[in-house]
Amino acid sequence: MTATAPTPPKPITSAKDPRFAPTLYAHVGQAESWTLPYYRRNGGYEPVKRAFAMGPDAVIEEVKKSGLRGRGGAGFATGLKWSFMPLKDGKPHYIICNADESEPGSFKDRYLLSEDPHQLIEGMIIAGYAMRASVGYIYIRGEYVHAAERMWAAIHEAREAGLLGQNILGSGFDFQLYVHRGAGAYICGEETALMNSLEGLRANPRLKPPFPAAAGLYGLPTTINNVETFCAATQILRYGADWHAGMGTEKSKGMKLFQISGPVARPGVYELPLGTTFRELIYDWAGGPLEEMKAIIPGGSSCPMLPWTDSILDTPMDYESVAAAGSMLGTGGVTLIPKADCIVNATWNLVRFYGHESCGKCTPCREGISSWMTRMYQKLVTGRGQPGDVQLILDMSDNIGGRSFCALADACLGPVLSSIKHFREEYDALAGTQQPLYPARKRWKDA
Amino acid sequence: MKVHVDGIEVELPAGTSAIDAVFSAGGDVPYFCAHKYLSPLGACRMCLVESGSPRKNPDGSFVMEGEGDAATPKIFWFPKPMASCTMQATEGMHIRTAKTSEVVAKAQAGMMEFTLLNHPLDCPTCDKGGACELQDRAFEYGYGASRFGFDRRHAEKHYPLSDFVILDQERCIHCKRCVRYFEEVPGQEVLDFIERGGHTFIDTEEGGLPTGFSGNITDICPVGALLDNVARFRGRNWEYDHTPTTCTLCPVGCSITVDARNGRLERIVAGENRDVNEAWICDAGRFGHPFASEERLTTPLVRNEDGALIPATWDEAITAINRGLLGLPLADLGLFVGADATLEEGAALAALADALNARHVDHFPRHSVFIAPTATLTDVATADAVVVLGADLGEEAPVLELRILEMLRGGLLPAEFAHGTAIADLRLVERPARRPERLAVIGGESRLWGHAGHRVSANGENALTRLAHPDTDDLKAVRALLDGAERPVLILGADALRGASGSAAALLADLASRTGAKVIAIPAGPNSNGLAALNLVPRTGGLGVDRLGEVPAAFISRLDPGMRAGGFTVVHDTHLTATAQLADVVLPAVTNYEKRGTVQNLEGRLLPLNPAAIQSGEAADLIRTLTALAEALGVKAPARGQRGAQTLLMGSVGVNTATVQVGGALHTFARTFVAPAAPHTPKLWTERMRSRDRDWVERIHDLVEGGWTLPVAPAAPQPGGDD
Amino acid sequence: MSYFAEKQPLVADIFSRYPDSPQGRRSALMPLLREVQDAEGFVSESRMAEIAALCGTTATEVRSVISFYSTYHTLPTGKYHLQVCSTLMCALAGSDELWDHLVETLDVQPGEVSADGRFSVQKVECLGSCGTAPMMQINDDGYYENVGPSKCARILQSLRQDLQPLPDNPVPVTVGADGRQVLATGQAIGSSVTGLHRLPEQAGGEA
Repeated sequence: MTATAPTPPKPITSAKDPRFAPTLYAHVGQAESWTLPYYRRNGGYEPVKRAFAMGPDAVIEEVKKSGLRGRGGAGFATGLKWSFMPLKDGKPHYIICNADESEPGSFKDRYLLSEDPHQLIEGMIIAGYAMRASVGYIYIRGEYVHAAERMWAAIHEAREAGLLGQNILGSGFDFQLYVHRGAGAYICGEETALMNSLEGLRANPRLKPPFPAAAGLYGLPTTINNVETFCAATQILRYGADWHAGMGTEKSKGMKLFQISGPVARPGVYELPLGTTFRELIYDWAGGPLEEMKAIIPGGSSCPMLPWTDSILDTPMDYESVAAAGSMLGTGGVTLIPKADCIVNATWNLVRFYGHESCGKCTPCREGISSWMTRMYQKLVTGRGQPGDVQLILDMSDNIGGRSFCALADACLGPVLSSIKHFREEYDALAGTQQPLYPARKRWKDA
Repeated sequence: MKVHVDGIEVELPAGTSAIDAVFSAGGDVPYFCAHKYLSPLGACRMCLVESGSPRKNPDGSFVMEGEGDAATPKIFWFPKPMASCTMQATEGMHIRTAKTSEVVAKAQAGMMEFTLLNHPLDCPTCDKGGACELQDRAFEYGYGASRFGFDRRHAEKHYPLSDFVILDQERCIHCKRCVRYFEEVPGQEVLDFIERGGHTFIDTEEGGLPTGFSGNITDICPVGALLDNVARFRGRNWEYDHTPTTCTLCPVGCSITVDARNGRLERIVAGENRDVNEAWICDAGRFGHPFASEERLTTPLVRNEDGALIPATWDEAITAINRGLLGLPLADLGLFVGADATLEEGAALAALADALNARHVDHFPRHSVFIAPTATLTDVATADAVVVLGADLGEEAPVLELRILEMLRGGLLPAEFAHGTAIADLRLVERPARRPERLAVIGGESRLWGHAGHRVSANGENALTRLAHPDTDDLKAVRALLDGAERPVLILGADALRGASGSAAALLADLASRTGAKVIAIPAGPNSNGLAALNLVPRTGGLGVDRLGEVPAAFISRLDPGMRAGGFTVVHDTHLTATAQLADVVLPAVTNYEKRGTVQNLEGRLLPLNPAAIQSGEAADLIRTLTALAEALGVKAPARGQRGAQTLLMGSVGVNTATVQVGGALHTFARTFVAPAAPHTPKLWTERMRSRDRDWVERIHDLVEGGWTLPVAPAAPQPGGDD
Repeated sequence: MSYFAEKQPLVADIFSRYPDSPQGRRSALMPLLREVQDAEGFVSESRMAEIAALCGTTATEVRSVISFYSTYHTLPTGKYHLQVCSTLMCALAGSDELWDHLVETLDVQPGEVSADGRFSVQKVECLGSCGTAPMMQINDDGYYENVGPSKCARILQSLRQDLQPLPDNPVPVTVGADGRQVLATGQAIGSSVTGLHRLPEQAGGEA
């Protein structure tokens, strides 16, 4: 016995930390990485054996201990979510992988699905085992054809190898997994809308409560997680909860796939520990901006944009710090907006996106966003703005915000309100003089 | 639990929605998507309220605020307004409506602005004007102006979804009541949203809405998007005289409101009766009324020397009857009446028959047996097994079909409060799970057939015997369903009752007592159950209406057998029917929309009729007509009016119909009269419901012929009419 | 003429993915629509009715679902249906100009099919390829990424000869054998990636 406990090692909050190495993304882009032999050569389907040896309740405890939070955007504690399932009710349970990656600026899951499908399959077997679910669905957005094909092929491989089906690896656990392709609707990323879509209905979000863990797919207990979350579960079962909890900040633990798009030297997906700064992602990993920037969208288009300042660049990318800076970590999809581009035009693009994707169920979104907000922006960017337009947009936003059925309308207000807050002068110019401060320019060029 | 609404404390049962809490406290919130008998949706976002609840410390005590004795549980308010229709009220919850909250008032005004964004505001030409939820709420909660400076959405304004229902897509506010109605109530996926976002509109891909229960969407549409095409442009809502009464097209006895303008019946809308039809009526009941204001007989007609029927006064008609029946023994006069006559009318006729010592007395249609109902419609809806024998409910009792479908989706009847039926009962859910295994249909195919888990093709007439002694696996499964159920209900239709005798009744009684099943035998006519309590069947030596031709002379009220009696024939009817054209004297009658009186429905519920303001000249109900007949016969009139008939009824069957309330009351008569009856095939849409002067109703003709969507069994021509 | 009558194994396979219940049957709706659309390019009214019957629902519901999702078509598209991502991340890389270029050179507006029946165009929302913008999808076949002017010209030229190039699946950033994140070219990135740590032993090894 020693008198003092050893000082716990400092958590890893930079990918430059020599203790860090990518795991989720370690095999993406390698030859044949999507095949079962490749996956097994690299330690695949060992974590699931560990899960079976631990027992289902211990798996949930392990995930709780790891501090994993949902990687789809909301950041809800995964282990806690899993424990909401009525574990001993004897009913059929479902788990669903939300692979409807549709948030503009997010493109991490596509590579995980197409390049490392077995990592996801294994994560879903583990999760199904923990939550006593015998069927899982992977809801892949309709446009991800290639990913769906790779996923199906991997599922067939896994079935052939006895990794899916009856009595997996002699554990007594039965689990079937299917791919369900979407068909082009952003709202399917909302978990209850996704369940409706999976049931062959229009993808309108459902009332909560009942929550999916009580009555989800086909009215039965269901848990939905993001692709990255299930993959992270595989890695947690591989390397242990402590390893995962050793990365990130106090409340945001583990590694995360960050995506960066916009005019930077090396756009793409980077696996970094949570708590890594924007600056490290943008400059060290993505090679820095190619021109002068003015705004950062930190986590997919619905996260309020932040101004391009040193203090923002030095903000750690974890759920709490980004929230404190006035935005959200979201899916970790970082987009940079150049100084020379009109922010109103950029916001108009996103408003149009949300207007197009509104499901039409509730009034504020259908009328407020889809019918009115889109036309207010169209009016501004086509040089027909009038004094008072910006004030009207703000008041409409006040009547929309927090009033809609699901979060889609609020998601639209993210870029609207943040762009007005940080770049009001560009709005005022369009509303006052009908001329943008930053006129349109040519951007299409060969890579 | 105690809930505080704008500072008013109310005591409510657990599970109450916040919107019902508000209304219970006498408050108000606007709403468009919620509807009493549909699942709460939360789509229109008008019913926003601020809400907050106390929280407990880990030790179970409340988190308090304030000092000492003044301390009260601290209320933790939600950061944003919540839709009260989809939020459950909880113990100690505080709710603020627009009355006390500026935030809510602005939120609702803002939402109203959004709701009106694409609404055309063509109120001056809209049939809904004056009875429009959107119009009313916009006045109460809106800004009074719109800041939307763009062109509104343009869409189809005159889009017929069927011959009966017309859609104005511009007016739609996407509350989804109609879509939910079809899916949840009649179980038909025939109407849905198309496209999404701001482009969403409703449409059907079925080549038109099916006739059956489609008209209900015109009642529940909160705007003028879905309108009754029969009543289209016939009047403004404030011009109509609204008369709440009972529909007597079939023995269900749905609550309806009859809207008349300038003496014409222009529209029928559903009334609410939680025990009977909830808020739904069938299309025949709603749209089958134009005859009531077309080609009515407004004076008596007397056949002249040339053999032509010519208008006459009542006195002339009485004289003609007196002359025509001279020398006829009074006991030889046949007295026949349609089975939708009221109890009071029946009592007057029975009394006259007694006074004349008449033998040839009958009402039509009726069955040869009388099986007293032991199940109510609520029992049907809350049963755990229903077996339907030889019935085509679409023709016999459509709304009974809806109550059976309600049973299939769990029999959850919305709660009742002092302010009425719950506006949002959170137990009702969209796309409810259905339990088809709880429903067995034995007989021919019908609309209900498709919903049943057990389907046995059988000749309706021996269905009961076969169920009592099941001879196939399918029938054994149905028996097992009955035997295993705790609250089974047996429903017998015309096919099972046609030609049935006392032995069938005994068999049924035995089966019911073995299985514990409650029973509804669907009466042949709208008021057959009530009229069975009166001695209105052929008496010793008497003939029934099926042998009219052999009766020496007859008075026939509101029946159209298409023939005359052997001798002098008096017809009392609303129109110059085939029978009336053969009569010697025709007396003008009122329709049931114009009557005061009482009928008894298929579950034994006494229901009131109230007279709507419809012009029908000198037409008279049966009671007053019998007074004239009595005068012609030189006997004392059995009753001089409604009061007298009520007294007669009190004396003969011991029921005081003067006290029957709007919702009705169950009643069992001590005695019933039965006699062999001619077979009868029930039909809901009848020739007389065909409109003469409007081309749209050509379609009703198709319905009558059985040519369109209603499945009508081919039937040989039957004597008698029915309506 | 039925589409699925001759394809019972396929239909059975699709239904086998979902529970054997009315709700489960309804779940087959989207996979069946996808089958028809991939084979015929659009979903006709008679196909809607056929799928409705298979799924135990009505043509109204099928049309409602079709119209909700943006990738189903109820009218024939061109042989090559070009779907150009127009959302912000692609717009920042010039997707508006790509779109204008396509509309102009192919002489086709959204909703139309070019005179030779070969091309139709659709502006679509973010396809999740923001790191390789701008991009477009052709039919239900796959993505064409980093579509600059010259690549666009090459693609159109091939399509005009009915030689559809294979879709790309570039992975912009990968992880090298040494655990470093590298560009697809193998170029190491990140300013301080020396001495990368070995991962802990797999916990499974102990079990």
